[in-house]
Amino acid sequence: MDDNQIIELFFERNEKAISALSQKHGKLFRKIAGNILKNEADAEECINDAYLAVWNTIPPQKPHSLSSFVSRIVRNISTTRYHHLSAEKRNNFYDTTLDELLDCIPSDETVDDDSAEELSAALNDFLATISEEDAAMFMKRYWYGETVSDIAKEWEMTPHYISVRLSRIREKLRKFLEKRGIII
Amino acid sequence: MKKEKISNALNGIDESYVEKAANYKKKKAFMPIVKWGTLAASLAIVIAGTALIMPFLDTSVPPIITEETTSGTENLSESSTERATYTTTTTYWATTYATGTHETIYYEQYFARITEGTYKNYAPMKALQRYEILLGEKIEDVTIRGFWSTNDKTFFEESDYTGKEEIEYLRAEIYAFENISPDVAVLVKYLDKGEALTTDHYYVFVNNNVKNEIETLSDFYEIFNADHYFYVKTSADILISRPDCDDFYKTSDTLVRNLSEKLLSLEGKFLSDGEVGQMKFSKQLTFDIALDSAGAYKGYIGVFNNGYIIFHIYSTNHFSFAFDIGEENATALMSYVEENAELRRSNNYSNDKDYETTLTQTTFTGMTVETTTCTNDTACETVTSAAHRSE
Repeated sequence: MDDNQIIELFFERNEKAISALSQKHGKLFRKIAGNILKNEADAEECINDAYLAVWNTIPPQKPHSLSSFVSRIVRNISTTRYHHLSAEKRNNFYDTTLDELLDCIPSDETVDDDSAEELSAALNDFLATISEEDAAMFMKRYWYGETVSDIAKEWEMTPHYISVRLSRIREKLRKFLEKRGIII
Repeated sequence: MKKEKISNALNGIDESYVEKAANYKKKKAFMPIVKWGTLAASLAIVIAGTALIMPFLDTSVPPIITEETTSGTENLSESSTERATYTTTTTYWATTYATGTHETIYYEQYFARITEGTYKNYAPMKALQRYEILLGEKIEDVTIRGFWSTNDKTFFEESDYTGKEEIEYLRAEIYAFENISPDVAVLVKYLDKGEALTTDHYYVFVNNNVKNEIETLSDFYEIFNADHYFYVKTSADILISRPDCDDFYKTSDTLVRNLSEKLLSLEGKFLSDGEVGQMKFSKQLTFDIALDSAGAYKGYIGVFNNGYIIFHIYSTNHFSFAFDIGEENATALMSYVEENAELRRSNNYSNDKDYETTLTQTTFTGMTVETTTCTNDTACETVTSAAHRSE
């Protein structure tokens, strides 16, 4: 069943839409949630919440890319859950991912909450300035939360290569944000 | 809170990037290298001065390299990994890279291929100055096809050539190296200046099938005239990695000279990619080398306590040559460094409070890396498997 057919099922309010979605893209969603939460039960719960959110969102929305649309919802829910959980215990894996980025974003305690939106816009602009490959690598690491080893394995490169490449991308990002005057 | 903001900001990234990343297929990869790669260690190596590797590891798009002495290098630090836009009238996409004493201009989207004849499939490697080589006889005149992309399209290999790129045909002469067979490598001297090529340099072209010529480490040394072209460099720290610790040693002229001599006196059997892929080790010695006759812009050696030694040659292509020198010899090289080099610093992971939970035991099987979680104690006692701290 292709994505358009699954979207049709959502529009028909047919519950098979959820199982079809899960069957086709569930593995990706589990990976995204798992990369962030590192806990199968939490990840599964987030995915179920995401499916409910998708059910409530399609219709009226008709996403261009179903997997990306749901991936984003899964990620949103998972990061919310992560931040909730991290108040109680440290999640080493996702923390490390965010730490890498934190190092390259100028910081100021006095700046208020609007900075996330501004940073989003800047990140979008930044991704447009780098090569497709670099953008894909950046997204794999920081959006999908994949480990360096996972990316290395998938791209048949060495972890060292990926690490070095990511550090260069972060350095570019740091300069880009500096130029923009972005502070969080 | 800051992390939360970053996390939220990431959520706001356009769907197109989410989708592209999910579907992105790497077009061409280097031959996998069996090597530890902790994030911390990698970054530390870069800071320590191995930064030269970076642009040349970034050779999913092979660069054609030329060197030019400029007066602007002092603004860039030796360990800088920064690429700066180089203002020049000759190119639009040239980038610069500082090594402290000179700048290297390299091109990410230019390919050169010999159009016909015996050397058609040779891989273009490093550009050398006349004084860097022992020049042999001229072999023949050839035509080189250079082609490049002027847009953002990523250009991975010749087969990506679509006909829409810029193209140029250049007259060139092929020369032999003195004391090196043209079956192994030749030098190309351009008579016409190309978009990304000079008429001043000699460009090394290496036979892609050069491994067929090698059965032993002596063969390797002989075919590339290692007596003349091989040496250990002082450009970066020497790294010894173990499952729970990375040690960085300072180099010195004496140390690298002795290390070079020790290496040139070794003997060992050539190892196939398959044999290397299945290797297991728990300690690794890594340092930079030079081997201009193989066109190495960046070269480094990995010595493993299982007795394997791997020569990595990076330029527009990557070649690796692996040999079994025996555990005793490998261990002796490590001991020599440990006993004679000054330790600059250690990254010790065993005191990390999260170490026990984040340590992974890694087994290299074929070209894949399988990781399973194990305890600190088990990993430290493991000698047959590599282990590293998970990033």
